[in-house]
This record gives sequence, structure tokens and C-alpha cells, in this order.
Amino acid sequence: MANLFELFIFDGAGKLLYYEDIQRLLYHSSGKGVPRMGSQQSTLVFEGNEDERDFLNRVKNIFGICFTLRSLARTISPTPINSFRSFVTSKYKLSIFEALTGVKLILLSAPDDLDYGPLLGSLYSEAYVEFARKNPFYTLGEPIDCPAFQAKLRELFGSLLPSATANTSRP
Amino acid sequence: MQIKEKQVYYLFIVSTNGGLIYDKKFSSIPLDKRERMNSDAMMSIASSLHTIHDLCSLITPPSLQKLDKSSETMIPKKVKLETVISDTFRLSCFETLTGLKFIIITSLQSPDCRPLLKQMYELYADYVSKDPYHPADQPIKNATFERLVTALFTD
Repeated sequence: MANLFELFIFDGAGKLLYYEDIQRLLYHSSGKGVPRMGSQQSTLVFEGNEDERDFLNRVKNIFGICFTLRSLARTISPTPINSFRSFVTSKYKLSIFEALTGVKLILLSAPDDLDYGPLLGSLYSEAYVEFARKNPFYTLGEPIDCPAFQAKLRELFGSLLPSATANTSRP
Repeated sequence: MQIKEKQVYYLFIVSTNGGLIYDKKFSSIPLDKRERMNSDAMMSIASSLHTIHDLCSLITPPSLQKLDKSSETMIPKKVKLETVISDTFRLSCFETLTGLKFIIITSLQSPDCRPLLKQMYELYADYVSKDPYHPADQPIKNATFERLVTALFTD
């Protein structure tokens, strides 16, 4: 899907649990049936170079903006709500899904008219809950490092494409 | 184009340095909420929106940033906050070339508000900017402007 750019998963405290560059996930994978860990490792291993500092700053900005907009939305809303759903700028659109536990799934996409709420909801229930929370080897609050999780994400993003691509087929 | 008054909740005009210069609450807001939204709350909302608008450019995806660098000729296009959508309201923001922001908060059923914000900008240009008694970037205390803005919304 050429419209989707990035996915961020934060816990309630603002710690980044998962980051995915969706264009790379869908179109540039090795295609040999083995999920790549490349994009995931950028969040786990920090070499201290400038790119990573920029990335970490960007991550903090994203969480900060979403946190501020969330409290702003709660103040502005005529009836009580939990959080806003999305905001659109001239270049991109940020959609957010916040679970009751405080886990936030944030999707950056092109500024189109599509509603990514259902996609984020299914990402939460079919990918995060299944492969992170129900995973006995996953400790809460730690970055998600699970090939099956990444494969499920690829499947869910790929299902948005009009025709299923080879990336989503199992070996 | 006119929007029904019952679909609008708030109107803000935020100056270039982030201060609130005009705000309007509509009667479609529930009474308890309206009482809690005093001028301090409105000012902090306006300042937060001003800051968020500026910070939006910091989180553009890298693939779009690269596109910008390769194709920009003279002036890079600034990233502007346009809409914020939630379950109960839609916030539309229109920023002029000078950095003045017109913000309207409506219900989800209201039509697109950008033409209305541009009309407000025209009213601002005609009745506020050209008002010799109005100091720049100060809260607007102009009865004519108030009357004309109210007239933009039908019943």
C-alpha cells in the first residue's frame, strides 16, 4: 500500500515498543519466507550515531504531540471522549488507536480520506494481543522482538492491497 | 456558504506569536462544559494548537522528507496542521501566509469548513487589519467584526 508510511507502538509511559517502516516491510523484504529483523533492530541496538539521535528525537516528538492533542481533544470535546482519532496535515496523516491499557498504535500515512481506525483495531487485536501479550516469552514494557508478529503485520497491511502480493504468501 | 449554528462549537483566531486574539463559544456546547471553558482555558487551547501546528513539521516520515529535498526548487512547502478528528468533533485549521490561524471546531456532521474559514479571513482583513484603532496582535474588540462573524452562521 503506497499510502502507508510508518507504524509506531508505544506503551502508556511513552516507551517505544515497536517501529516499522511499512514501505520497506511490504516491498523490499528478502522474499525468502524468513521475516527480516532489520527494521526492528534499529530500535533495540543504539550505536549513538546522528541518524539514531534524529530518530529518537522524532519518536519523542510523535509521542509528545499525540499526548498533547489527546488532552486537548478531551478538553474541547462537548461530550467526554477518550482520545482523538487522527489528525491530517498537508503532507501526512497520523491515525492513533489507544487501548484501555494505554498502549498506543500510531500510523503515519498519506493525507488521504481513508479511515485507518479499523486497520489499527485489527492490528491491535490480531497482532499485538496475539503475538505480544499472549506470548509467554514477551516481557511487558519491552520492545517487541517476534518474527511472527512482523509476519502478521505484513499480512494485515498486505490485505489492504487490491491483489495479494507474493510477500504475504507462506513458503 | 453557511454552516448551521448548532453544528459549531468553538471559533478561535490565533495570532502569529501564539496568542489568542479572538474566541467564540456557541450555544451548542452543553451548559456545564461551557461554564468550565473560561477565557484561561480558551487561551491555553489556542496556544497548544499553535505549538502543535509548528511541531507537525518535525514528525514527517523520512521518505517524504527525502522527496522534499530532491524536488524543492525555491521555497520548501511548510507542513500545516489541517484537521483533527475525534469521535465527537472535527477541528479545522486554516493558516494564512502571515502565520495567523483560524480554527473552527464543529460536529462531525458539518460540511467542510475551509471556505468558511477563508470568509472569516476576509472579514478579518477588511474589518480588523484595516481598523486604525486595532493594535496588531491584540485581542479583537470590534463590534462590527463580531456581528459579521455571527452572521456567517445560520440557524
